[in-house]
Formats: sequence, structure tokens, C-alpha cells
Amino acid sequence: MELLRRNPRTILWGLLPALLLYVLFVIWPILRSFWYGFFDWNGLSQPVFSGMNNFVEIFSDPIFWLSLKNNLWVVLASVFFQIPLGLLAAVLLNGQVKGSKFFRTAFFIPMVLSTVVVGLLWSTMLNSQAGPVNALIMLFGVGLNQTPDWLGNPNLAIFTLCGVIVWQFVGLYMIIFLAALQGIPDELLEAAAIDGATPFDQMVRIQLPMVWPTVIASVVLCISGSMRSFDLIFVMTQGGPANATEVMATYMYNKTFAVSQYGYGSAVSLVISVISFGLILVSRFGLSRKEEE
Amino acid sequence: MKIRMLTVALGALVLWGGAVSAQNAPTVKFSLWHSFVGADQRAPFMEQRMAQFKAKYPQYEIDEQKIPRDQYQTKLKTMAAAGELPDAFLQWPNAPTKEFVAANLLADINDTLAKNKSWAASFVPRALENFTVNGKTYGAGLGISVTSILFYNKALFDQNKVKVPTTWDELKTAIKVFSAKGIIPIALGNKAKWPVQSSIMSSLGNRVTGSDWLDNALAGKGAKFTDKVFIDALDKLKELVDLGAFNRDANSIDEVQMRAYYYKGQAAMTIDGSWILPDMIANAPADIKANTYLTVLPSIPGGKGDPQTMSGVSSTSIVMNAKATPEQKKAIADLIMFLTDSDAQLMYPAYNIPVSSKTVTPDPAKVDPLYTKLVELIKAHPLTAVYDGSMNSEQADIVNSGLQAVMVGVMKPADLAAKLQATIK
Repeated sequence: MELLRRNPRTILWGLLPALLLYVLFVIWPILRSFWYGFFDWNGLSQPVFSGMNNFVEIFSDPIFWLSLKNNLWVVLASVFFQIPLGLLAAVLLNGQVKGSKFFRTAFFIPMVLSTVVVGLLWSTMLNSQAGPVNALIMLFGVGLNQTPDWLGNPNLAIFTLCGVIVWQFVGLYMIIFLAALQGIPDELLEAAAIDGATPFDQMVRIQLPMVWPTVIASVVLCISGSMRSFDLIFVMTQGGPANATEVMATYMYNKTFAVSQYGYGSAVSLVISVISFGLILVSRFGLSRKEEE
Repeated sequence: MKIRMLTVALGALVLWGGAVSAQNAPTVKFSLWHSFVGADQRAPFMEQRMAQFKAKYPQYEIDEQKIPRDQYQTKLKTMAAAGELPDAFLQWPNAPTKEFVAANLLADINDTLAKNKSWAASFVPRALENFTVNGKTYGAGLGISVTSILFYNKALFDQNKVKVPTTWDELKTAIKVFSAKGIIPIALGNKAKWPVQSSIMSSLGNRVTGSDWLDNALAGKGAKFTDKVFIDALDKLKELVDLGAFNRDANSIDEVQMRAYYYKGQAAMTIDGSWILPDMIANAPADIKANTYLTVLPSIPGGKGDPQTMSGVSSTSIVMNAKATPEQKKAIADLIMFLTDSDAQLMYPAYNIPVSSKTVTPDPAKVDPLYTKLVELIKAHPLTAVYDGSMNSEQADIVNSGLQAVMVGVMKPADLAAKLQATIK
């Protein structure tokens, strides 16, 4: 150790191979992609420098704003449903409740399934012509045409997708919070119980403060995860109907690979990075201030 | 010393080889690239036909390279940019062909067409037109793709005493009768956004606007997307949606699910392209298959287009490099003919490739009845342009998403028209 500290070059040499690979295959392409954002390029022809044109076009495209709005819905749904629900499930299943093992597994199953499976599963369940969910609603005497068109109604589809995304990821946050809760010493809770604290008091006054750093980390994870949500939406609606469920990543994908505007797509990816980074900064700032109080 | 011996040996070999082929005809070598490999339905056809070609013309020495479809066009463009195109290669109709012609990369086959009149006359016009630029034809399609066929279940029409629609009013009546009985009038799966554009709008639009309008509007000459005819055509589509012509989940299911409604007998009609045929032949229940008939979309009152047409596009063709020698050009022309002549077209049915000939009649005993119906349809109905085949990818994207938006009512036809017109420079 002492030898290493006296010899920073050795450290450098040790890090070099990994660093080289990382720079070559991660950092460099990201920078290249940002660079191409300033070009008019269809992927085959010679890129032509176009200055800020792509960005001007992005910010004047109503579909981009729609996709940003939809993306924010996904972020809000994730932060305000996945995390509280995950926390609630973790607290409930932390003790030796009967069947807690079964429920832990059950809640975690969606995480184990591939997103394509989840997407096809819910597309079938929510199908407006022949899906079981609407068949259930029709049992209450609602006609087929009065049942919600979950994925086909442009005003409803994004919220349907938010619901599926929450369902898919609650299990992940449950596991993270369970791990954090297990770290709280039992004596603490026992002492509180002796002092007359109800389970609710224990949760609010002991468990929640003690897992708060985990919550903050989860919020960051949640925001960055939902800013790049793509797969489930692509499988379930492909951004449709009529761009109603377009999020920024599907918008970028569509512009880049369907319309072959590689320069424009690169510019979109730069915008996504900036917005995501901004959101994460804001959330960290907000949550850590709460911590200080 | 060794090298010298090798040179002598090689020289002898060359002399000997030359002497042998000189007995019949001089050897002509040419390179050929195509993408008929792997899962491509034309791969087994190509393999069989190439073997026959080599047997018939032993003097041709072909360096054949099969490149998978997803890499093919990129590789071709790269080689074109480097000036290293093969002597003969597979090319796509319309825009890609035009692009290559503009760069003087292709040699035309007008001479061959002029010398072989019966072969030239056997084609469905689109199979040549889609490879024709400024009066010169550069290829002949190995089959065609019809994008807009109205498939209907005759049993359901008979049971409900509905006439198979040939006019817009008859179509509306059929839709009303079927939806009242809880039968989906027209099964549709438009999640991927292009099916409505390719299968419905390309034909429906042509019925209303006529054939020249689209070309003129795209060229910005004498027509505009904001013209009343186009808005009328969009209104017709919206009218169908509002009448309940399609299943409720039309914009959230894919083509496979769409077919399921039709195969289960839950839908009376479906509008799809000829590519549905292999699936329908393999997967539709026997009674549905026996009751399925093919026709074109109905006529529209006051429409400027020929109500007998259907939208469609030529398949790919072998084309020849402008730099090929006269001998090579002769050999490649022989190949182009050999792959599309009546003997070749008779082999298409085995692989469910829709024929690009209007003179060939497949043996009904050997092919599926549905395929025979398709061949009859192709003979009887001329093809018109497919929207996304004529448009660039940006315009196609606007139309695909825009049609969906018009259907679900979040965009007005006039707004879609204006958005499209904005792309015309």
C-alpha cells in the first residue's frame, strides 16, 4: 500500500486498461453522439454542420414537448407510487407476518419477467376488444363501447402505461427497502415498543428516518430509470396511438432509426441527458435538505 | 525456380481452360450480389433457379455473394460510394433505383426489353415502371407486393345477407349490418402505424385523388397535400372509423392479432397486403380459408381514380453495373430474363411469391386456391403507387403517425395535410 501511494504511476498503469476500454466504448461514443447533434446527418451521407438547427427544431416540435410531458408523468408516477408502495410493502413484509415469503416473491416476480413478457401480458389483459380486464368491467353491466379503451384512447394510454410501469418496478424498490430495514437493529424497535410506540410510530419515527438515505438513492435511481424508459412503451404501444404515449427515448429512437435523422436523434439524446441531469440535481437538493432538518 | 514452375503451370492451365470453353463460347465472368439468403422466402427459389441458369449457360462464370437483408443495402451504398459495386446486384424499386441512376451507376435494359417483346409484355406494368427513370428501364421485379387487398369471409356475408361491397354505400351498409350483429366489419391492426397508410390509405387515397395527384403533390407541381381531394380522402377514412368499421383496439394491436380476429371468424373483412398469404395458407382454419375471397376496395362516388386499381409495388430486381463490359451486360440480361420469365414465374407459387406476370397461370392442382385467387386478382387489377414507397422517410413517418392521429380524433385532416405540405420544398 505504502509503495503504491509513493508511486502514483503504478496506480495509473493498473487503471489504464479498464479506463481505455471505458473511454473507447462508452465515453467516446457519448461525446461523438453529442457532437453529431450539431450536424445534419442521415447515417450514410457526409454529416453537414448545421449549428443549433437541430435544437431549434426539437424545441419547436410539439411532439417533443408531448414526449417530455409524458416522460414527466412517468417520472412522477414512478417517484410517487413505486417508492411509497415499495416502502409500504417492505415495512409490512419485514416482520414475521404470515405468508410474508410468498408475498415477497409475488411482488418481485414482475422484476424477473422480461419487459417484453410484461408488455405482452398487459397488452392482452387491457385489450379493449377482447381483454379480460374489460370483460370483468362488463360483468357489471357496462357495454363494450362504454368500457375504457386503455391503450387506444390517446388521453388515457399514458396513464395506463404508468400503471404498468409502477406494477413492474414496485418489487425492485421493495427489495431495496427490505434490505435497508433489515439493517435496523431489532433492539431499537423493541425498546420503542416497550416505551409504548405503536407500529405506526415505529415506522414513522424509527424505520423511515433510518432508511432515508436509501430512499434518496432510490429516488435518483427511479428518476434516471424513468427518464430513459423505452422498452415497455415500445412493446405496448410503440408510442402510439398518434404519439400519445411517446416518451423522449421512443421519440429519439423513432427520429434516429425510423426516419434516419441521426444528427437530429443525437441532438435529442443530448437534450435528454441535460434534462435528466437537471431533474436528478433538483431531487437531490430537495431531499438532502430535508435530511438536514 | 518454384515460382517459375508455378507460373508455367498456371499459364498452361489458363490456355487449357481457354481452349475448352472456346469449343462452345468464350467464358464470361461476372460478380453477383443479392440478399436471398436465410429466412428470405426467395432464398430457396434463387438457389434452385441459379442452378438451372448455370446448367443452361455453362459459359457464364458467376461469383455469387449472398448478403443478409439487414446489412445488404448499407453495404451496397458503401460500395457504391467507393466505386466498387459488383457487376450485377439486387436493387430496390423507386427511390433507391433513382438514387443509383442519378449517380450514373446503372446500365439500362431497354435493348433487352425491345428484343424480347413477349417477355417484356408479360409483366404487370409496375414491375417495370418502378425501375424506370426518365424512360429508361433498369430492372424487372422478381414478383410484386400488392399492399391493399380486401379479404372477405363470404360465409359471413351470405349468412347476414350482405352484398360484397363494390361501392362506398354498399361498404357502409355492410359495416352497419355487421356491427349491429356484433361482428367486426373490418379487422385492423395498426399498432405499427404503417398498415393503415400502406393497405388502406394508399388505395383509398388513389380512389379519391387519382394517380397523378400524388406524384404531382410530391414533386410540388400542380398539386398540394392541402388540396381538397386529399382532405376528402382523409375524411373518408375518418368516416369509416366513426361508423365503427374497425375493431376498437385497431390502433393497439399488431397484424398477427388482427389476423386472429379474421381467422376466428369474428371479423367479416380485413384489408392487408399480399404478404399475409403464406400466413393465411398455413394458419387459417380450413373453413375460413375456403370462404375467403379477394377483391379491391370499393369505388368512391365522385372519385377521380380508377376504382379497379389496387396499390402495390414491384419487388426487387437484379440490375447491372454501368461499368460492366458488353459481354457481361449480355450475360446479366440473360440472368434478369431467366429469373422473371414464365418458367421462373411458375416456380414462384411454391414459395408464395406473388407473380409479376399477367400471362402466367399456375396449375390450380399444385398451388393453394388462395394463391390462385391472388394471381387472378393481379391479372385483373392494375397497380397504383403505395404512399410510403413514393415518399421519403420523413414524409412517410408524418403520414403513418398522422393517419393514426386522424383516426383517434386528435388531429384534423387539414392539419395533417398542412404538415405534409410543409415537407415539400
